[in-house]
Amino acid sequence: MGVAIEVLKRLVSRPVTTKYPDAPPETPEGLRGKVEWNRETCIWCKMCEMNCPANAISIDKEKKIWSIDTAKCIFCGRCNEVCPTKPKSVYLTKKIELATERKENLRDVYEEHHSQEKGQKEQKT
Amino acid sequence: MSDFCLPFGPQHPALVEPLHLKLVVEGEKVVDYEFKFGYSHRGIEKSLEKRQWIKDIFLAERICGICSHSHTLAFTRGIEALADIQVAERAEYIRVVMAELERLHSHTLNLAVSFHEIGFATVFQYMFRDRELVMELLEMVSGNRVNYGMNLPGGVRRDIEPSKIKEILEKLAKLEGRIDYYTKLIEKDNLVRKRTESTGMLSKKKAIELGATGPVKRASGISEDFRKAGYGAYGKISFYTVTEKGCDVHSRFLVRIRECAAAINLIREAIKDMPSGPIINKTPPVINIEKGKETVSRVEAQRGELIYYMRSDGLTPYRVKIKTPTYANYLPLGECLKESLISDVPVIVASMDPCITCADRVTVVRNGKETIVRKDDLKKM
Ligand code: SF4
Ligand code: SF4
Repeated sequence: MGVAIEVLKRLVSRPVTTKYPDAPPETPEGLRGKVEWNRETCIWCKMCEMNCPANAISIDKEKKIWSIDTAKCIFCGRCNEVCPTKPKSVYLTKKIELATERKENLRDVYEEHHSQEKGQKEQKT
Repeated sequence: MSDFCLPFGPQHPALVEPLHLKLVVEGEKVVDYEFKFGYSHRGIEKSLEKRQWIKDIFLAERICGICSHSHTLAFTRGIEALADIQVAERAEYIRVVMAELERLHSHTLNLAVSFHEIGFATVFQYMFRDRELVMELLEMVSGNRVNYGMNLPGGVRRDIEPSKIKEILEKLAKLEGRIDYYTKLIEKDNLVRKRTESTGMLSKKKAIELGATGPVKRASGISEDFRKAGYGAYGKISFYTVTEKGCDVHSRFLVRIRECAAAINLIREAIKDMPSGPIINKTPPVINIEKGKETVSRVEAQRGELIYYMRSDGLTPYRVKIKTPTYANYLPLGECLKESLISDVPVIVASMDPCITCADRVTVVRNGKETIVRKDDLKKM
């Protein structure tokens, strides 16, 4: 019986689901999304590379290349936690829509002179 | 006796995860069973040996998606015991809040799936809607819906600020009403009762003999809960454990829904008693533990007692052996299946809350031949 009343109530109320993707999902503050990096503040200490549990970050200090493979990243936020600079040079954004057709697109290589450029093809190292 | 063997799984509409049950049936009745595991073996225990302690926490978290906090809690507590790390007082309470929120979402998930199995899909939908409240809270506190990544040796990584506490209490009040509603539904609804009462019986004696754990054991009238041993902050917070005497699927439903109500109370108590102060005692990113040191770390996960045995090899573990509650509940599951009807099998399996991937961690390969643990091996342990 109890369920019948509940069902009748539902008939007149609005749906609880949202119209994704038309209505973007609400994300709380501090959500752990895509990892990004800031060239200006980085001191090339390699702490993020050493502490990443998934080995998603690779750094070439000589050539000044910082790259992250988002396909490997597990969004743990450890890189942000161990980064010694202020403000943190590596940080987690609220970007969650990361689906793409090709795995290569998930690799962000930040090279010199192309600061903040993303989605570049990885050069074999 | 007939020896007609009915395969159930590994792909089956009633099973979300790959478990292969071979049921020996006589007409509609199950008379014997055999398990076959190993469909989702991932070699996690071996990989744990190759990484540093702190990196391992994030790997241990990924053993199970539902008990992710319990796994890290057990692993972190193990590291803390091995390396003699003091835990920040406030962190202990935050860990309790997280563990209980996780218990809420796990139990509501399992109950929803169980309702689905008994053909009550309406309640399945409603429960998923209400479970979303807990998921939102978990996301708000930790920044992630499934793998919270809260634990580090010495404390937790994120604080619960007053504004968040307010939201937690608000949403819990909302959820409490819903939990009351479902409790009444399970207690009174004829459909639910007829389908679940006296199915999948596991007597008290058998539950002890076969080593059942968690809600399954508590539904057979055994009041045992490792939280009562008072690890972490559980020793300082007053809470009650739930037991039922029915020994059937219905009792398991009741234990879970009542544990949800208990978890809500526990979170309130923990928030009330939460001391102020730092949330973590800083530890170096690389922990070195004396070689050969070993420990056993136990916590009460949602499905039962979770046990980690850890032995150190310096910067990495030498061996980590994990015993998940599902593993302990396999034999009781077989016992429940005996003498039951084929149509009841999905309900009984769901009522044990199995997490197959959790339990699938051992495949022995000897001389190129693969050996998978079977029913008789389970009995030997
Ligand atoms: S979030 Fe975690 S996995 Fe991703 S890059 Fe940072 S440390 Fe590595
Ligand atoms: S830890 Fe921070 S400062 Fe160090 S290399 Fe990584 S991003 Fe740069």
